[in-house]
Amino acid sequence: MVSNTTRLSLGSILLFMFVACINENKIKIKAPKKNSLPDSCRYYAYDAGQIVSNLSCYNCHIRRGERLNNIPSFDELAAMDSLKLLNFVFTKKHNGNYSIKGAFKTSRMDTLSDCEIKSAIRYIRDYGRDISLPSQ
Amino acid sequence: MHISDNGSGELTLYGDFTITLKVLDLTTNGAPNLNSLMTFTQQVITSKLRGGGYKSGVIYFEYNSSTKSFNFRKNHTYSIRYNFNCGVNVIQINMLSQLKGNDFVLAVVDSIGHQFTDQYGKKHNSGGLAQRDGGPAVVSYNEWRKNKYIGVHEFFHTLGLGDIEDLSKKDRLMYHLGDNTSYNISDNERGDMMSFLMRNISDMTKGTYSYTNLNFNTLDLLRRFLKDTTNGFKYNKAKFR
Ligand SMILES: [Zn+2]
Repeated sequence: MVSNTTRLSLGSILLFMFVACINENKIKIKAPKKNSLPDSCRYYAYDAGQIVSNLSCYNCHIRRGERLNNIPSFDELAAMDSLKLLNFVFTKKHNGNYSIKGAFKTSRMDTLSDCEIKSAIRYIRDYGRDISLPSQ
Repeated sequence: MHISDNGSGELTLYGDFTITLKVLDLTTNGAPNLNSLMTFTQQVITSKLRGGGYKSGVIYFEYNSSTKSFNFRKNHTYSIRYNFNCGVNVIQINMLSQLKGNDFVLAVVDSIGHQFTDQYGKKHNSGGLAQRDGGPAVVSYNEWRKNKYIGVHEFFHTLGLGDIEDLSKKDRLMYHLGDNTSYNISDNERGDMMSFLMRNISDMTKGTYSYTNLNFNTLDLLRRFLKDTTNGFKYNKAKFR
């Protein structure tokens, strides 16, 4: 499943992202550069949660209930499929505000690696699922 | 509740509010130490929420301090300081009718059969189980007696925090593999819980606002959670009708 020479564009990553998350090895390495994903991109729920938290997504995307200023709520985001999320949230980057020339070009959103984006998308989608959190 | 703008990109949010966690004893043989565990839990939650929280680089709407309102047509990048006094009540309830729609709940059961595998591939038993972001929290009474912090840990899942498995962070309350060295909460985690509790900053500019759970069907969620066989809860079903 995992090959050392795999190089994927973001589009094709998404088709395989859930499969890839299960079969990867356990060493965590940052993506070396944009548009290439290391085989070792593994999903850590806490780290993915920190990405969403640091971007302060919840301030505008209210977790659930009434929308703020007609901005989709977080549980509405969770219901989108991965490709739509990538386009809607990360690629179009909020109407261009987060793009290289946009008003928020210095935002951390532009510095996320592909692996971090992939993790954040999974985290957002997991929000809509009732996942039990255990502790010993 | 009020907001102060220091004019150079920092908003401080002030206010006092109280949250209540209702503890429902569903054990078969009763829980003689429940009171002291609840007192401990109340003290820890209070102290962990104290000191507010801080978030920088928050892109939000521009605040106008003279009209005390947000301009939804203009964005602004802020640092946000949460300066809340959060009172905490942990109280025991005996009847389901005491559970309102948007309450926070911690149910105490005999045992939890659910096992989980950590990121290193090791299997663990569960002393507590919760659903994040407003969901119900459940602890096993025997495990709670062994580890007094489980009640707080589970409740903090309800307030939106996730589990930590990074072995270099054993000193954190949200580290959940059992061999904790301490029980700290980071400023970031505190900020996340504050952000969960207030939900919508712009609501602060409106008069009436209460800081409760964002779910409106706590009883329903708890019922579904308890019935879910993958969780493996053992409890006195006669106490939950
Ligand atoms: Zn946990």
